[in-house]
Amino acid sequence: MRILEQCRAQARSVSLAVMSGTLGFWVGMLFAFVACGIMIAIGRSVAARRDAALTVALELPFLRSSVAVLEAATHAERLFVETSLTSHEELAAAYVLPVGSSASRLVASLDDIADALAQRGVSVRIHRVDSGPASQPNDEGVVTAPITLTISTDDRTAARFLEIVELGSSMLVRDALEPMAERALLSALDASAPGALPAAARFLATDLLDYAAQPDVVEGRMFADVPSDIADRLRALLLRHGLGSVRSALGDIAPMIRATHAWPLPLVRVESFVREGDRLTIVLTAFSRART
Amino acid sequence: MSSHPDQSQTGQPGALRQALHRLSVPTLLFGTVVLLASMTLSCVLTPDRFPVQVAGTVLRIGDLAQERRLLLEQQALLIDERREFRRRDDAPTLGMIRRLRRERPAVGTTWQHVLLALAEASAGGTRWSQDGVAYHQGVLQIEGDVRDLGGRSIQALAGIVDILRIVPGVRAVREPTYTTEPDPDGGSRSPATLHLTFDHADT
Repeated sequence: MRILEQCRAQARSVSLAVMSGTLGFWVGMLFAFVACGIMIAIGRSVAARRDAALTVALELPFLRSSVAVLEAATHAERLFVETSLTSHEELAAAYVLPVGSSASRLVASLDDIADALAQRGVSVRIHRVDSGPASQPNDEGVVTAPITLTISTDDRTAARFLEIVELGSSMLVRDALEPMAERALLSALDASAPGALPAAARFLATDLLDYAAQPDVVEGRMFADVPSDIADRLRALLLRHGLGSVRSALGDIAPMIRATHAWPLPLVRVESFVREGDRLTIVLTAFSRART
Repeated sequence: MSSHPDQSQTGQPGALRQALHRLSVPTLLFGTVVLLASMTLSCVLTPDRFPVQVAGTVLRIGDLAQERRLLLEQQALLIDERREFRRRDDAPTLGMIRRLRRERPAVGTTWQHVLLALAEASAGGTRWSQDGVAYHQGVLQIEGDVRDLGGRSIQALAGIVDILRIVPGVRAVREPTYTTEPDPDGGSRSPATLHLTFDHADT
């Protein structure tokens, strides 16, 4: 029996020794599997990041462009805020949307404009101006008053006269330009000539009468470093979306209007007009601010 | 023990176990080296360091992600700055003017374009002559007639309506009543009243 017990104990120790011998093999295999798992994880992670990177790479040009346009627009806004916002706000509050009635200022300005047109051989005669009672102020404190104007001129000149009246509340180039055109201009410059973006910001903050007097010179400053085909396309865009009207309506009379200090005009909206013979009766709504 | 019948029968390790025993040290060494190597690789070769080729340019993934992050940060800053400009409300009057101006139709400019289109439509043997014009709350009403020496005044009138539909600032042109009558000066004439609705009109 003792011999049998000793044999069993010896067998157990041999077995343990063998087990401990194979343990190294299994641990080695486990390490190898873990290493394989890590390598597969690295591969998958790289593949996933590469896919993500391609998406980012496709997104980046749009993002760069968007940031550049935003930067130019913000620069234009900052430039305007730092240099001329206060003075323009004061001008707007005094002349474009004044407190109380704007009728007298409007009549005087229209007369100056008719004189300026007459000096250029374009006849507009103002026969009569009637102003009605002001409305109650709305929630923003804006009051409106009807102004009836009777002029005698042909249709082309009457349309130009109305164009000037409507442009009258614009003080800067950006005021006369449709917002989508401003965005399109900045976008196109960013894509073709990013160096011209600061010049574009200055262009948008240019005084409207300065632009009207010398539109090609003012545009030329912005397009100095822009390829000519792009510049031509952008000039056409500006003409179509607001600045064409500035050139045709104000081009030859801008210096005279500046000399008379008629600009800016009070903000008006054309409500109606009707032609009777050679006379055109125009009804405008003039905007002003209520006294507080 | 039942899973190892050879051992239970012989009472000593089998050939397979002896083989595993012999392989244990090399396998352990191999496993350890491979594990250490893979751990080192996972630290050194991070995905951000892998290059990608985009439009012929080789860039690192990390650089792209970093540029995107910087651009987004810059965009957020600029948007905040612009919002701040507007929130400061340094120019309440200018803001109000801008809003009021954008809500009204550009009557003078659109009328100019309409007159130009009508002048251009009068070409060859066709002539548009105007008898009256009126505008009220976004709608321009023009009375006149088209004369055509070739007797095709209705076609000429339809052509004018089509031209007016593409004039900038004109949102719609109502179809006029098409009639024709002989023109004492030769050909035919089609009197018509044109109704043009401008952009931003209330009606």
